[in-house]
Amino acid sequence: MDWVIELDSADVPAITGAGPIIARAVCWRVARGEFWIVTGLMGSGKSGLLRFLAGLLAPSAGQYRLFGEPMPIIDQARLPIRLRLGFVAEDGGLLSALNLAENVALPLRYHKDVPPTTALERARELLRALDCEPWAEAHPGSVPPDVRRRTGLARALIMNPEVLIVDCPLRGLDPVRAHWWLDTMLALNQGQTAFSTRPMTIIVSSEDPRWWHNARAKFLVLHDGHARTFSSWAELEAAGPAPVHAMLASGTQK
Amino acid sequence: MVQTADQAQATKTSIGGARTLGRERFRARLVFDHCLSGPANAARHAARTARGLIAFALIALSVLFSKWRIAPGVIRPLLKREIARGGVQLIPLFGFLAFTLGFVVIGQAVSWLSRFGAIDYLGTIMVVVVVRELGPLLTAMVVLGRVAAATVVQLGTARALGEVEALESMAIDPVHYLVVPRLLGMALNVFALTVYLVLGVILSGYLWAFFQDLPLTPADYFGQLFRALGWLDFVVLGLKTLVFGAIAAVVSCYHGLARPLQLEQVPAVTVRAVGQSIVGCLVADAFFLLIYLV
Repeated sequence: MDWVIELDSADVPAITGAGPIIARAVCWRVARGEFWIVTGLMGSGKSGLLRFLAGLLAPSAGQYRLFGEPMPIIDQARLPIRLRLGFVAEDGGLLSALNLAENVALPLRYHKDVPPTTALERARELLRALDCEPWAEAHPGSVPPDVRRRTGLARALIMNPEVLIVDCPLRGLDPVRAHWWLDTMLALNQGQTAFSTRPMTIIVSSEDPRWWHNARAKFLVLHDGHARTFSSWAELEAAGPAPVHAMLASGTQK
Repeated sequence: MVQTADQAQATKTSIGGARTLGRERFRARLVFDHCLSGPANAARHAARTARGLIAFALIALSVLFSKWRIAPGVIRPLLKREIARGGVQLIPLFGFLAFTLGFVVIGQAVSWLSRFGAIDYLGTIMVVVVVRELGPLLTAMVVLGRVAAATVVQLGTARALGEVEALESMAIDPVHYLVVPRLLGMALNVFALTVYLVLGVILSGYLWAFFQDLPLTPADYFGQLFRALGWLDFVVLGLKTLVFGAIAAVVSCYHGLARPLQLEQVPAVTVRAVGQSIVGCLVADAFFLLIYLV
């Protein structure tokens, strides 16, 4: 099996908060082309786990391998492996001193030494594909949150990653914008977008897994400092932990 | 053992005396500890801060040299922006400073030197006071106040907004992107502005001497200057200004990035950064003085 992400009894540390460890002894393997939803109650550590997967923290115990190489990767020689992974923060993670097009172009200019004009042109193409081109010259502070999030996605996609990690893309969105994200994530996973025809391995965090019940995704549930995996929505419905059942039973269907 | 009343009274007195003596010693110890604890805590805190600053400086320098050839298309525009912000934009201010400083130095020098008939030492005074000490220090202080304080606020805000994490998520070294351009920019700015200030003071100094009808021809004045200047002055001026700029950059970047800042902490941290930069520059200045004494 072609594993892209492997966690072997890894203790995932927290970036913020009272407890030092989000999840203990996590054993998790993500194969190429899979679609994973990381879910759990608020405060269960979903964002922390995704930041850990993005290489922002080292495991407190155990091992985390990305394409077979130990993470985090900080040395220049192994950087090409690290660049095969893209990360989108919940708020887009944009730099306030740059406008949206410059933000999207930054990784291309930094890692590939692409001239500014070419990089900005490519950035604008991506922003156009993600319906954000009208805001290309605006700064992050002056655009709506969804535009910031989509710009973060454009910035991750400009490096053509093989693995895409997206933190809570649906948080705070109306159903129309939420469905845009659902459709885009599915299309990226299947390689059916105008700007990327190669299927991507996608890992998305979501407070409400019901949005993804049609996505043919696998689920990882964080609860009480542990992570459990479920290979399908049906398995999650049948055998998920109590908080997941409570979540599935509450509110309106998606 | 059964005691008599007198024995009991004597015991009580001696126990009470021992207790009193013990309390007094305890109080004296408390006062002693209190007097020492403030300076001791301050010394411990200063040592911790110095250790952090030195470690940060070493990290910044190692990134500067190891990633010299990486992403020049991104880092050079950032460096140019720092040079414009902390150098070019300060030229008018330094022009004014040079003009007034020339008057002050020449005015004071002339008023004392002419009493002793030692006007021939005017050039030496200019070199010793302006070229060796006042020029570099004054430039560093002005750059600190104008640029370093703003740097603390900018980087503290960037950290609070998650931009450091955003850079790391793009596999971009935050020290390379945020610190190296500022380090190089401030060092180059302090060097260039010092040269500009020194030249301005020397020229405006002669202008003031001319207006004061001093019997000093331009040839005499500049001759004195060139005779007082040695190759060591040029070397030390260059090194000193680069070091002062680097100290200002390292301290301000350290305080902006070292730990997450709350909004209400920003003024105090900015003041602390400027104060520590001043101390750092003065300590470095003292080291450079040793070169002249050896």
